[in-house]
Amino acid sequence: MENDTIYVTMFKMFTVRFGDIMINGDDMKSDRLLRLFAYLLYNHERIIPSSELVDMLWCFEEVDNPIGALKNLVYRLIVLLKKTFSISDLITTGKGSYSINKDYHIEVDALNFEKECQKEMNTIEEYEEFSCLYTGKYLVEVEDDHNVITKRTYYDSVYIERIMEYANLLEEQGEYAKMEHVVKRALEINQLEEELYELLIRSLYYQKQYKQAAEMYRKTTELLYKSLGVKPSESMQDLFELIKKQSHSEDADIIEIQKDLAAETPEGAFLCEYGTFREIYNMHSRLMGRLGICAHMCLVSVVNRKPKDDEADQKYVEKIMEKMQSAMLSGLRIGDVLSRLSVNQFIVLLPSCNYENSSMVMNRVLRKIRYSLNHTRFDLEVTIEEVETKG
Amino acid sequence: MDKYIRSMSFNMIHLCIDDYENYKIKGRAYNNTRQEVICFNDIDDIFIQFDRIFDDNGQPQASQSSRSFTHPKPLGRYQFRPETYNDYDEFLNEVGKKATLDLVIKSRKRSTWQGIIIYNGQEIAFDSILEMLNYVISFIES
Repeated sequence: MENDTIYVTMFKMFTVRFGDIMINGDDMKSDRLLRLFAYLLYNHERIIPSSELVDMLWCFEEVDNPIGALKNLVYRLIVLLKKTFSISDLITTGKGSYSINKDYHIEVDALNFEKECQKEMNTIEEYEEFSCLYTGKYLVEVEDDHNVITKRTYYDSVYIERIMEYANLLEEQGEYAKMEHVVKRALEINQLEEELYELLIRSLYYQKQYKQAAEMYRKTTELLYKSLGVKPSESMQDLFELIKKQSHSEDADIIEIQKDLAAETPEGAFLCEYGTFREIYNMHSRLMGRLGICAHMCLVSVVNRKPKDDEADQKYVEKIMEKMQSAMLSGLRIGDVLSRLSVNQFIVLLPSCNYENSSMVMNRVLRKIRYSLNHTRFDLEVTIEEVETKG
Repeated sequence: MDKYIRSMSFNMIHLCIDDYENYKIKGRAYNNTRQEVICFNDIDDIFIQFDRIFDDNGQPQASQSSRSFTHPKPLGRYQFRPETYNDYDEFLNEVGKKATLDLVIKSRKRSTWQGIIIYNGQEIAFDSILEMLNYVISFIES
Protein backbone atom coordinates (compact mmCIF):
# COMPACT_ATOMS: atom_id res chain seq x y z
CA MET A 1 0.00 0.00 0.00
CA GLU A 2 1.32 3.42 -0.79
CA ASN A 3 0.58 4.60 2.74
CA ASP A 4 3.00 2.00 4.01
CA THR A 5 5.85 3.08 1.80
CA ILE A 6 8.94 4.40 3.52
CA TYR A 7 11.24 6.47 1.34
CA VAL A 8 14.89 6.36 2.28
CA THR A 9 17.73 8.43 0.88
CA MET A 10 21.28 7.38 1.65
CA PHE A 11 23.00 9.55 -0.93
CA LYS A 12 24.02 13.11 0.00
CA MET A 13 22.04 12.97 3.26
CA PHE A 14 20.42 10.15 5.20
CA THR A 15 16.68 10.76 5.39
CA VAL A 16 13.70 8.57 6.13
CA ARG A 17 10.26 9.77 5.08
CA PHE A 18 6.99 8.17 6.03
CA GLY A 19 3.90 10.06 5.00
CA ASP A 20 4.51 13.76 5.63
CA ILE A 21 7.13 13.24 8.29
CA MET A 22 10.83 13.05 7.64
CA ILE A 23 13.83 12.43 9.89
CA ASN A 24 17.52 12.70 9.10
CA GLY A 25 20.85 11.80 10.63
CA ASP A 26 20.70 14.64 13.16
CA ASP A 27 17.41 13.36 14.52
CA MET A 28 19.02 9.98 15.21
CA LYS A 29 21.26 11.71 17.79
CA SER A 30 23.64 8.74 17.74
CA ASP A 31 26.04 7.50 15.13
CA ARG A 32 25.48 3.90 16.15
CA LEU A 33 21.70 4.27 15.97
CA LEU A 34 21.99 5.73 12.49
CA ARG A 35 24.25 2.90 11.36
CA LEU A 36 21.88 0.29 12.75
CA PHE A 37 18.83 1.85 11.12
CA ALA A 38 20.63 2.36 7.79
CA TYR A 39 21.85 -1.24 7.80
CA LEU A 40 18.40 -2.64 8.53
CA LEU A 41 16.82 -0.53 5.79
CA TYR A 42 19.52 -1.40 3.27
CA ASN A 43 19.02 -5.10 3.98
CA HIS A 44 15.27 -4.86 4.40
CA GLU A 45 14.67 -7.87 2.18
CA ARG A 46 16.27 -10.35 4.54
CA ILE A 47 16.47 -11.39 8.17
CA ILE A 48 19.73 -10.25 9.75
CA PRO A 49 21.33 -12.35 12.49
CA SER A 50 22.23 -10.45 15.68
CA SER A 51 25.84 -11.55 15.32
CA GLU A 52 26.04 -9.78 11.96
CA LEU A 53 24.68 -6.57 13.48
CA VAL A 54 27.07 -6.83 16.42
CA ASP A 55 30.04 -7.27 14.03
CA MET A 56 28.93 -4.28 12.01
CA LEU A 57 28.37 -2.00 15.01
CA TRP A 58 31.26 -2.97 17.26
CA CYS A 59 33.79 -4.28 14.76
CA PHE A 60 36.97 -3.06 16.44
CA GLU A 61 35.67 -2.58 19.95
CA GLU A 62 35.50 -4.75 23.04
CA VAL A 63 31.94 -4.91 24.37
CA ASP A 64 31.00 -6.80 27.54
CA ASN A 65 27.57 -7.87 26.48
CA PRO A 66 27.17 -7.20 22.75
CA ILE A 67 23.80 -8.91 22.41
CA GLY A 68 22.46 -6.89 25.33
CA ALA A 69 23.90 -3.70 23.87
CA LEU A 70 22.30 -4.48 20.53
CA LYS A 71 18.95 -5.16 22.20
CA ASN A 72 19.17 -1.80 23.91
CA LEU A 73 20.01 -0.04 20.67
CA VAL A 74 17.11 -1.66 18.82
CA TYR A 75 14.81 -0.63 21.68
CA ARG A 76 15.98 2.98 21.33
CA LEU A 77 15.32 2.82 17.59
CA ILE A 78 11.81 1.49 18.10
CA VAL A 79 11.10 4.27 20.63
CA LEU A 80 12.34 6.89 18.13
CA LEU A 81 10.20 5.48 15.32
CA LYS A 82 7.16 5.42 17.56
CA LYS A 83 7.73 9.00 18.68
CA THR A 84 8.37 10.31 15.16
CA PHE A 85 6.23 8.25 12.82
CA SER A 86 3.81 6.72 15.34
CA ILE A 87 4.77 3.25 14.14
CA SER A 88 6.05 0.52 16.48
CA ASP A 89 6.12 -2.50 14.19
CA LEU A 90 8.71 -1.49 11.60
CA ILE A 91 11.44 -3.56 13.28
CA THR A 92 10.67 -7.25 13.70
CA THR A 93 12.50 -9.27 16.35
CA GLY A 94 13.19 -12.92 15.60
CA LYS A 95 15.16 -15.69 17.29
CA GLY A 96 18.62 -14.15 17.45
CA SER A 97 17.80 -11.86 14.54
CA TYR A 98 16.16 -8.63 13.44
CA SER A 99 14.49 -7.51 10.25
CA ILE A 100 12.26 -4.90 8.68
CA ASN A 101 8.57 -5.76 8.69
CA LYS A 102 7.66 -6.95 5.20
CA ASP A 103 4.28 -5.21 5.44
CA TYR A 104 6.11 -2.00 4.77
CA HIS A 105 7.40 -1.18 1.33
CA ILE A 106 10.87 0.34 1.50
CA GLU A 107 12.27 2.47 -1.31
CA VAL A 108 16.02 3.04 -0.91
CA ASP A 109 17.81 5.28 -3.40
CA ALA A 110 21.10 3.39 -2.97
CA LEU A 111 19.43 0.08 -3.85
CA ASN A 112 17.76 1.57 -6.94
CA PHE A 113 21.14 2.96 -7.95
CA GLU A 114 22.80 -0.40 -7.40
CA LYS A 115 20.22 -2.11 -9.66
CA GLU A 116 20.91 0.43 -12.41
CA CYS A 117 24.67 -0.10 -12.03
CA GLN A 118 24.23 -3.67 -13.26
CA LYS A 119 22.48 -2.58 -16.46
CA GLU A 120 24.24 -1.88 -19.72
CA MET A 121 23.79 1.65 -21.02
CA ASN A 122 23.97 2.83 -24.58
CA THR A 123 21.79 5.87 -25.05
CA ILE A 124 21.93 9.40 -23.71
CA GLU A 125 18.51 8.94 -22.08
CA GLU A 126 19.69 5.88 -20.15
CA TYR A 127 22.81 7.66 -18.94
CA GLU A 128 20.83 10.75 -18.01
CA GLU A 129 18.39 8.72 -15.95
CA PHE A 130 21.25 6.95 -14.23
CA SER A 131 23.16 10.14 -13.46
CA CYS A 132 20.12 11.62 -11.70
CA LEU A 133 20.02 8.70 -9.25
CA TYR A 134 23.32 9.59 -7.61
CA THR A 135 22.82 12.85 -5.76
CA GLY A 136 25.78 12.69 -3.41
CA LYS A 137 28.12 10.38 -1.54
CA TYR A 138 26.76 7.40 0.37
CA LEU A 139 26.01 7.92 4.09
CA VAL A 140 28.32 10.88 4.56
CA GLU A 141 27.23 11.07 8.20
CA VAL A 142 29.10 7.84 8.94
CA GLU A 143 32.85 8.17 9.11
CA ASP A 144 34.37 5.07 10.64
CA ASP A 145 32.33 2.17 9.35
CA HIS A 146 34.33 -0.13 7.07
CA ASN A 147 31.17 -1.44 5.41
CA VAL A 148 29.93 2.09 4.66
CA ILE A 149 33.30 3.28 3.37
CA THR A 150 33.54 0.30 1.03
CA LYS A 151 30.08 0.92 -0.38
CA ARG A 152 30.72 4.66 -0.66
CA THR A 153 33.89 4.05 -2.66
CA TYR A 154 32.17 1.51 -4.87
CA TYR A 155 29.18 3.71 -5.68
CA ASP A 156 31.42 6.68 -6.30
CA SER A 157 33.69 4.82 -8.68
CA VAL A 158 30.79 3.33 -10.65
CA TYR A 159 29.19 6.77 -10.89
CA ILE A 160 32.40 8.40 -12.10
CA GLU A 161 32.94 5.64 -14.63
CA ARG A 162 29.43 6.00 -16.02
CA ILE A 163 29.65 9.79 -16.08
CA MET A 164 32.85 9.56 -18.09
CA GLU A 165 31.19 7.17 -20.52
CA TYR A 166 28.23 9.56 -20.71
CA ALA A 167 30.47 12.57 -21.30
CA ASN A 168 32.45 10.71 -23.99
CA LEU A 169 29.19 9.76 -25.70
CA LEU A 170 28.04 13.39 -25.63
CA GLU A 171 31.42 14.44 -27.00
CA GLU A 172 31.08 11.95 -29.88
CA GLN A 173 27.67 13.35 -30.67
CA GLY A 174 28.88 16.94 -30.49
CA GLU A 175 26.67 17.82 -27.50
CA TYR A 176 29.32 19.92 -25.80
CA ALA A 177 27.05 22.17 -23.76
CA LYS A 178 25.29 19.15 -22.29
CA MET A 179 28.66 17.54 -21.70
CA GLU A 180 29.70 20.61 -19.70
CA HIS A 181 26.48 20.49 -17.67
CA VAL A 182 26.80 16.77 -16.89
CA VAL A 183 30.41 17.03 -15.81
CA LYS A 184 29.77 20.13 -13.68
CA ARG A 185 27.00 18.26 -11.88
CA ALA A 186 29.36 15.36 -11.22
CA LEU A 187 32.01 17.75 -9.93
CA GLU A 188 29.61 19.06 -7.31
CA ILE A 189 29.80 15.60 -5.78
CA ASN A 190 33.44 14.81 -6.61
CA GLN A 191 35.67 17.83 -6.40
CA LEU A 192 38.95 15.94 -6.61
CA GLU A 193 38.47 13.79 -9.68
CA GLU A 194 41.03 15.03 -12.23
CA GLU A 195 39.51 13.20 -15.17
CA LEU A 196 36.24 15.06 -14.67
CA TYR A 197 38.07 18.37 -14.80
CA GLU A 198 39.75 17.26 -17.99
CA LEU A 199 36.35 16.49 -19.52
CA LEU A 200 35.02 19.86 -18.40
CA ILE A 201 37.98 21.71 -19.90
CA ARG A 202 37.55 19.74 -23.10
CA SER A 203 33.87 20.63 -23.29
CA LEU A 204 34.76 24.31 -22.91
CA TYR A 205 37.45 23.96 -25.54
CA TYR A 206 34.99 22.44 -28.02
CA GLN A 207 32.60 25.29 -27.35
CA LYS A 208 35.47 27.65 -28.23
CA GLN A 209 35.39 29.14 -24.72
CA TYR A 210 39.18 29.21 -24.59
CA LYS A 211 39.52 31.79 -21.81
CA GLN A 212 37.18 29.87 -19.52
CA ALA A 213 38.97 26.64 -20.43
CA ALA A 214 42.35 28.16 -19.58
CA GLU A 215 40.99 29.59 -16.34
CA MET A 216 39.50 26.24 -15.38
CA TYR A 217 42.85 24.57 -16.10
CA ARG A 218 44.60 27.00 -13.76
CA LYS A 219 42.03 26.48 -10.99
CA THR A 220 42.30 22.71 -11.41
CA THR A 221 46.09 22.79 -11.22
CA GLU A 222 45.93 24.81 -8.01
CA LEU A 223 43.32 22.53 -6.49
CA LEU A 224 45.29 19.41 -7.34
CA TYR A 225 48.42 20.86 -5.74
CA LYS A 226 46.66 22.03 -2.60
CA SER A 227 44.48 18.97 -2.03
CA LEU A 228 46.41 16.03 -3.45
CA GLY A 229 49.93 17.36 -3.89
CA VAL A 230 50.06 16.26 -7.51
CA LYS A 231 50.66 18.08 -10.76
CA PRO A 232 48.30 17.72 -13.75
CA SER A 233 48.57 14.58 -15.88
CA GLU A 234 50.29 14.59 -19.28
CA SER A 235 46.94 14.52 -21.09
CA MET A 236 45.77 17.60 -19.14
CA GLN A 237 48.97 19.41 -19.99
CA ASP A 238 48.61 18.46 -23.67
CA LEU A 239 45.05 19.78 -23.61
CA PHE A 240 46.28 23.06 -22.17
CA GLU A 241 48.79 23.34 -25.02
CA LEU A 242 45.92 23.01 -27.49
CA ILE A 243 43.95 25.69 -25.69
CA LYS A 244 46.91 28.06 -25.69
CA LYS A 245 47.37 27.58 -29.44
CA GLN A 246 43.70 28.13 -30.16
CA SER A 247 43.52 31.28 -28.06
CA HIS A 248 44.79 33.30 -31.00
CA SER A 249 42.59 34.29 -33.92
CA GLU A 250 43.73 33.26 -37.39
CA ASP A 251 45.89 35.53 -39.54
CA ALA A 252 46.81 37.85 -36.71
CA ASP A 253 49.39 40.39 -37.85
CA ILE A 254 52.65 41.09 -36.09
CA ILE A 255 51.45 44.34 -34.49
CA GLU A 256 48.46 42.60 -32.92
CA ILE A 257 50.69 39.81 -31.66
CA GLN A 258 53.12 42.31 -30.18
CA LYS A 259 50.28 44.19 -28.46
CA ASP A 260 48.93 40.96 -27.07
CA LEU A 261 52.35 39.87 -25.82
CA ALA A 262 53.07 43.27 -24.29
CA ALA A 263 49.69 43.42 -22.54
CA GLU A 264 51.03 42.09 -19.28
CA THR A 265 53.25 44.38 -17.19
CA PRO A 266 55.84 42.11 -15.62
CA GLU A 267 56.56 42.51 -11.95
CA GLY A 268 58.90 40.20 -10.13
CA ALA A 269 59.47 36.58 -11.11
CA PHE A 270 57.30 34.72 -13.59
CA LEU A 271 54.98 32.19 -11.96
CA CYS A 272 53.72 29.38 -14.15
CA GLU A 273 52.44 25.85 -14.00
CA TYR A 274 54.88 22.98 -14.39
CA GLY A 275 54.25 22.24 -18.08
CA THR A 276 55.17 25.81 -19.02
CA PHE A 277 58.18 25.73 -16.68
CA ARG A 278 59.45 22.65 -18.46
CA GLU A 279 59.21 24.38 -21.84
CA ILE A 280 61.00 27.46 -20.55
CA TYR A 281 63.71 25.22 -19.06
CA ASN A 282 64.19 23.45 -22.41
CA MET A 283 64.36 26.76 -24.23
CA HIS A 284 67.04 28.02 -21.82
CA SER A 285 69.06 24.82 -22.24
CA ARG A 286 69.16 25.46 -25.97
CA LEU A 287 69.98 29.16 -25.63
CA MET A 288 72.73 28.72 -23.09
CA GLY A 289 75.07 26.90 -25.49
CA ARG A 290 74.52 29.48 -28.17
CA LEU A 291 74.78 32.57 -25.99
CA GLY A 292 77.42 31.43 -23.52
CA ILE A 293 75.28 32.08 -20.46
CA CYS A 294 74.94 29.92 -17.38
CA ALA A 295 71.75 29.19 -15.46
CA HIS A 296 70.87 27.40 -12.29
CA MET A 297 67.78 25.61 -11.07
CA CYS A 298 66.76 25.59 -7.41
CA LEU A 299 64.45 23.17 -5.67
CA VAL A 300 62.96 24.64 -2.51
CA SER A 301 61.29 22.16 -0.18
CA VAL A 302 59.39 22.57 3.05
CA VAL A 303 60.62 19.76 5.26
CA ASN A 304 58.83 18.47 8.35
CA ARG A 305 61.42 17.10 10.81
CA LYS A 306 58.84 15.26 12.91
CA PRO A 307 55.86 14.54 10.71
CA LYS A 308 52.55 13.90 12.42
CA ASP A 309 50.54 13.30 9.28
CA ASP A 310 47.53 15.29 10.35
CA GLU A 311 45.41 18.05 8.86
CA ALA A 312 46.99 20.75 11.02
CA ASP A 313 50.43 19.97 9.58
CA GLN A 314 49.09 20.08 6.03
CA LYS A 315 47.46 23.44 6.62
CA TYR A 316 50.66 24.83 8.12
CA VAL A 317 52.72 23.61 5.16
CA GLU A 318 50.24 25.29 2.80
CA LYS A 319 50.61 28.55 4.74
CA ILE A 320 54.39 28.38 4.47
CA MET A 321 54.11 27.67 0.75
CA GLU A 322 51.94 30.74 0.24
CA LYS A 323 54.45 32.93 2.09
CA MET A 324 57.30 31.46 0.07
CA GLN A 325 55.51 32.08 -3.20
CA SER A 326 54.88 35.67 -2.25
CA ALA A 327 58.49 36.20 -1.12
CA MET A 328 59.94 34.66 -4.26
CA LEU A 329 57.61 36.49 -6.64
CA SER A 330 58.59 39.83 -5.20
CA GLY A 331 62.23 39.04 -4.34
CA LEU A 332 63.42 37.40 -7.57
CA ARG A 333 64.18 39.15 -10.85
CA ILE A 334 61.76 39.67 -13.72
CA GLY A 335 63.52 37.03 -15.86
CA ASP A 336 63.42 34.36 -13.16
CA VAL A 337 60.85 31.59 -13.43
CA LEU A 338 58.95 29.95 -10.59
CA SER A 339 56.65 26.96 -10.53
CA ARG A 340 54.87 24.97 -7.86
CA LEU A 341 56.08 21.40 -8.16
CA SER A 342 54.19 19.64 -5.40
CA VAL A 343 52.38 20.17 -2.13
CA ASN A 344 55.64 21.17 -0.42
CA GLN A 345 58.06 22.14 -3.22
CA PHE A 346 58.79 24.98 -5.60
CA ILE A 347 61.16 24.84 -8.55
CA VAL A 348 62.95 28.02 -9.62
CA LEU A 349 64.96 28.81 -12.76
CA LEU A 350 67.61 31.52 -12.41
CA PRO A 351 69.09 32.45 -15.80
CA SER A 352 72.47 34.21 -16.01
CA CYS A 353 73.22 33.33 -12.44
CA ASN A 354 76.23 31.38 -11.23
CA TYR A 355 76.17 28.97 -8.29
CA GLU A 356 77.30 31.44 -5.65
CA ASN A 357 74.84 34.09 -6.74
CA SER A 358 72.01 31.58 -6.91
CA SER A 359 72.76 30.49 -3.37
CA MET A 360 72.94 34.09 -2.18
CA VAL A 361 69.70 35.05 -3.91
CA MET A 362 67.68 32.15 -2.53
CA ASN A 363 69.04 32.67 0.98
CA ARG A 364 68.20 36.34 0.83
CA VAL A 365 64.68 35.77 -0.48
CA LEU A 366 63.86 33.01 2.00
CA ARG A 367 65.70 34.36 5.04
CA LYS A 368 62.67 35.82 6.79
CA ILE A 369 60.62 32.69 6.30
CA ARG A 370 63.45 30.49 7.54
CA TYR A 371 63.78 32.69 10.59
CA SER A 372 60.07 32.39 11.34
CA LEU A 373 60.40 28.58 11.29
CA ASN A 374 63.19 28.55 13.87
CA HIS A 375 61.33 27.02 16.78
CA THR A 376 59.02 24.80 14.78
CA ARG A 377 59.34 21.30 13.35
CA PHE A 378 59.59 22.73 9.85
CA ASP A 379 62.55 23.85 7.82
CA LEU A 380 63.36 24.92 4.28
CA GLU A 381 65.80 22.97 2.12
CA VAL A 382 67.28 24.53 -0.99
CA THR A 383 69.06 22.39 -3.58
CA ILE A 384 70.85 24.09 -6.47
CA GLU A 385 71.81 22.42 -9.73
CA GLU A 386 73.21 23.75 -12.96
CA VAL A 387 71.01 23.78 -16.04
CA GLU A 388 72.48 21.40 -18.61
CA THR A 389 73.19 22.79 -22.05
CA LYS A 390 71.61 21.26 -25.12
CA GLY A 391 73.39 21.72 -28.42
CA MET B 1 85.13 25.12 -38.15
CA ASP B 2 83.60 27.89 -40.22
CA LYS B 3 80.32 27.74 -38.32
CA TYR B 4 82.14 28.39 -35.04
CA ILE B 5 84.22 31.20 -36.52
CA ARG B 6 81.03 32.82 -37.79
CA SER B 7 79.07 32.54 -34.56
CA MET B 8 81.51 32.47 -31.64
CA SER B 9 85.07 33.24 -32.71
CA PHE B 10 85.53 35.33 -29.53
CA ASN B 11 85.32 32.05 -27.56
CA MET B 12 87.90 30.29 -29.72
CA ILE B 13 91.57 29.75 -28.96
CA HIS B 14 94.10 29.07 -31.69
CA LEU B 15 96.75 26.99 -29.93
CA CYS B 16 100.26 26.67 -31.37
CA ILE B 17 102.35 24.16 -29.41
CA ASP B 18 106.05 24.75 -29.93
CA ASP B 19 107.64 22.56 -27.29
CA TYR B 20 106.71 19.48 -25.30
CA GLU B 21 109.05 17.93 -22.74
CA ASN B 22 108.25 15.94 -19.59
CA TYR B 23 104.58 16.83 -19.93
CA LYS B 24 105.42 20.52 -20.05
CA ILE B 25 103.66 22.15 -22.96
CA LYS B 26 104.92 25.49 -24.23
CA GLY B 27 103.68 27.64 -27.02
CA ARG B 28 101.49 30.52 -28.14
CA ALA B 29 97.77 31.14 -28.07
CA TYR B 30 95.66 33.55 -30.07
CA ASN B 31 92.21 34.94 -29.41
CA ASN B 32 90.57 37.75 -31.38
CA THR B 33 89.40 39.67 -28.29
CA ARG B 34 93.06 40.28 -27.49
CA GLN B 35 95.52 42.13 -29.66
CA GLU B 36 98.58 40.54 -28.06
CA VAL B 37 99.84 37.00 -28.46
CA ILE B 38 99.46 34.95 -25.32
CA CYS B 39 102.62 32.98 -24.62
CA PHE B 40 102.56 30.12 -22.15
CA ASN B 41 105.34 28.08 -20.49
CA ASP B 42 102.98 25.42 -19.29
CA ILE B 43 99.46 24.49 -20.21
CA ASP B 44 98.13 25.74 -16.81
CA ASP B 45 98.94 29.24 -17.99
CA ILE B 46 96.44 28.90 -20.78
CA PHE B 47 93.63 27.99 -18.42
CA ILE B 48 94.39 30.75 -15.96
CA GLN B 49 94.90 33.44 -18.59
CA PHE B 50 91.90 32.50 -20.65
CA ASP B 51 89.66 32.18 -17.62
CA ARG B 52 90.52 35.84 -16.98
CA ILE B 53 89.87 36.73 -20.61
CA PHE B 54 86.47 35.05 -20.54
CA ASP B 55 85.64 36.74 -17.22
CA ASP B 56 86.54 40.11 -18.77
CA ASN B 57 84.49 39.36 -21.88
CA GLY B 58 81.56 38.23 -19.75
CA GLN B 59 81.20 35.06 -21.78
CA PRO B 60 81.09 32.17 -21.67
CA GLN B 61 79.78 32.73 -18.17
CA ALA B 62 81.34 30.58 -15.45
CA SER B 63 78.88 28.68 -13.29
CA GLN B 64 81.02 29.14 -10.24
CA SER B 65 82.90 32.20 -9.02
CA SER B 66 86.68 32.02 -8.76
CA ARG B 67 87.95 32.00 -5.20
CA SER B 68 90.83 34.12 -4.09
CA PHE B 69 92.72 34.95 -0.91
CA THR B 70 92.84 38.53 -2.08
CA HIS B 71 90.03 40.65 -3.49
CA PRO B 72 89.00 38.99 -6.76
CA LYS B 73 88.78 41.06 -9.91
CA PRO B 74 85.16 41.91 -10.66
CA LEU B 75 83.58 39.97 -13.52
CA GLY B 76 82.96 41.78 -16.78
CA ARG B 77 79.35 42.29 -17.77
CA TYR B 78 77.91 39.69 -20.09
CA GLN B 79 78.42 40.62 -23.72
CA PHE B 80 76.55 38.84 -26.45
CA ARG B 81 79.37 39.67 -28.88
CA PRO B 82 82.55 40.90 -27.17
CA GLU B 83 84.66 43.34 -29.13
CA THR B 84 87.15 41.65 -31.45
CA TYR B 85 90.36 43.05 -32.91
CA ASN B 86 91.16 40.54 -35.63
CA ASP B 87 89.54 38.16 -38.00
CA TYR B 88 90.01 34.67 -36.60
CA ASP B 89 91.05 33.44 -40.06
CA GLU B 90 94.27 35.47 -39.77
CA PHE B 91 95.42 33.26 -36.89
CA LEU B 92 95.14 30.14 -38.99
CA ASN B 93 98.44 31.05 -40.66
CA GLU B 94 100.19 30.65 -37.29
CA VAL B 95 101.52 27.14 -36.86
CA GLY B 96 103.05 25.40 -33.85
CA LYS B 97 106.31 23.40 -34.11
CA LYS B 98 104.79 20.37 -32.42
CA ALA B 99 101.06 20.73 -33.05
CA THR B 100 98.42 23.27 -34.00
CA LEU B 101 94.81 23.05 -32.94
CA ASP B 102 91.75 25.21 -32.21
CA LEU B 103 89.55 25.16 -29.15
CA VAL B 104 85.94 26.31 -29.04
CA ILE B 105 84.95 26.98 -25.44
CA LYS B 106 81.16 26.66 -25.26
CA SER B 107 80.63 26.77 -21.53
CA ARG B 108 82.42 26.91 -18.19
CA LYS B 109 80.43 24.68 -15.89
CA ARG B 110 81.61 22.86 -12.76
CA SER B 111 84.71 25.09 -12.66
CA THR B 112 86.01 23.55 -15.87
CA TRP B 113 85.62 24.01 -19.61
CA GLN B 114 83.36 22.30 -22.10
CA GLY B 115 83.67 22.64 -25.83
CA ILE B 116 85.18 21.29 -29.05
CA ILE B 117 88.77 20.58 -30.12
CA ILE B 118 89.40 20.99 -33.85
CA TYR B 119 92.51 19.15 -35.05
CA ASN B 120 93.32 18.09 -38.58
CA GLY B 121 89.74 18.67 -39.69
CA GLN B 122 88.36 16.55 -36.85
CA GLU B 123 85.96 17.95 -34.25
CA ILE B 124 86.10 16.29 -30.84
CA ALA B 125 83.86 17.32 -27.97
CA PHE B 126 85.28 17.52 -24.45
CA ASP B 127 83.57 17.92 -21.12
CA SER B 128 86.46 19.00 -18.92
CA ILE B 129 89.92 20.53 -19.06
CA LEU B 130 91.44 17.20 -18.10
CA GLU B 131 89.73 15.47 -21.00
CA MET B 132 90.87 18.21 -23.34
CA LEU B 133 94.43 17.91 -22.05
CA ASN B 134 94.46 14.16 -22.69
CA TYR B 135 93.50 14.77 -26.28
CA VAL B 136 96.12 17.51 -26.73
CA ILE B 137 98.89 15.27 -25.38
CA SER B 138 97.77 12.42 -27.64
CA PHE B 139 97.93 14.76 -30.67
CA ILE B 140 101.44 15.90 -29.72
CA GLU B 141 102.69 12.38 -29.11
CA SER B 142 101.20 10.91 -32.27
